[in-house]
Amino acid sequence: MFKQSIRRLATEASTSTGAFHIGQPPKYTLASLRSFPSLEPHTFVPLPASFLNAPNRRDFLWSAVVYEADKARVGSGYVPTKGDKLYSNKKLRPQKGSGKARVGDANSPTRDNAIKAHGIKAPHDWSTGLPSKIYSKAFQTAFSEQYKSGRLFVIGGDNTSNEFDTTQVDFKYGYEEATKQFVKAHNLQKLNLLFITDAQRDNLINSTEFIGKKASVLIKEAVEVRDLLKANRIYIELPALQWFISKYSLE
Amino acid sequence: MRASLVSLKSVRISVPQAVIKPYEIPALSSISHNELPNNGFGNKNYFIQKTQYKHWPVYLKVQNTKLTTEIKRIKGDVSQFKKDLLALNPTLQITVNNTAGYVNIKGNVVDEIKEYFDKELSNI
Repeated sequence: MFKQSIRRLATEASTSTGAFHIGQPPKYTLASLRSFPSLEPHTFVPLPASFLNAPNRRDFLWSAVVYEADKARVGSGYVPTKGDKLYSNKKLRPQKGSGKARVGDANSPTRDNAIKAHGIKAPHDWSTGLPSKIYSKAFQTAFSEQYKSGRLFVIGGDNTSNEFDTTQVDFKYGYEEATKQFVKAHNLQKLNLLFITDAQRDNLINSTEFIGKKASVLIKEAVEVRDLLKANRIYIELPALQWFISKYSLE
Repeated sequence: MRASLVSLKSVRISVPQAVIKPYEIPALSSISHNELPNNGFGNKNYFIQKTQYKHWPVYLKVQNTKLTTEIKRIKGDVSQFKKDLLALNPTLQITVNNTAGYVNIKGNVVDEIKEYFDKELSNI
């Protein structure tokens, strides 16, 4: 007779204790490290699962995007009020004797003119607040979503496949041709590209200039959640990603 | 001349910004397969994280006269957690928020839930 047994999955996380079925959530995900511009993967690095494998929470993203859009508003709306004195201070007609109603000057908001009683005044701060924990969660969610859909490319490591490759997000030369070839080789026509760098990369900025809005080059400090969400492909340097992880991993 | 407080108030000393240390990546060899995704987590199991100060994330929610016990920070299979709670006390009236990982129980049962946690989950 054969000894029958049910083989359990090797990848099973069960440390259930008594009444509660407790499992250990994954701590890390593996991200492949690539060289630029060939995007050839060379090795893996373990990165926190909270940052690259977070569940999709659209509410966090919504809050963060609204917060950033509010912060970006200039607040230049300006409505003339009585105090702006568009007209003369002269009394329009004498107080008595005309047979008409009493009037003051032409700067009154009750008259048919552009003046309003209470108007918004120019430097106006529309910015709203958001708890830093929520904002951090939004960054985690945005990075995770891009990573899970395969749009996040981490550039770094020590190895390069050929002499033209670097471990930074930068081209060897600042000519348009570099970007043109990069776009053609990786089939990125009509896609929004986002390059996140650790420091300023002049060649990359000069080379991608001609594409206009389709490619944006941002230093890590300038990146917002909505930049991450707008991009179809993100190319980020490993040191920049490490910086994001330590800045935005508040629980 | 006496130093005036008014002039001191206008002095702004620039404080250097805190330098953010980049995240230290652990060695690839130090990671086991159990710590990676697809380790079976979320399939009829879940994890409840303690707060920063090592308390259970069990709170009493007061909305006028309505008292609700809220359990937060549940990762994984929240419905399984509901079943486990019902196995301990079938009288509980439980609603589940799967997206946020919250569980709401009608009435004030904060102490009861914390007791279960202390008894059963002492190793977390």
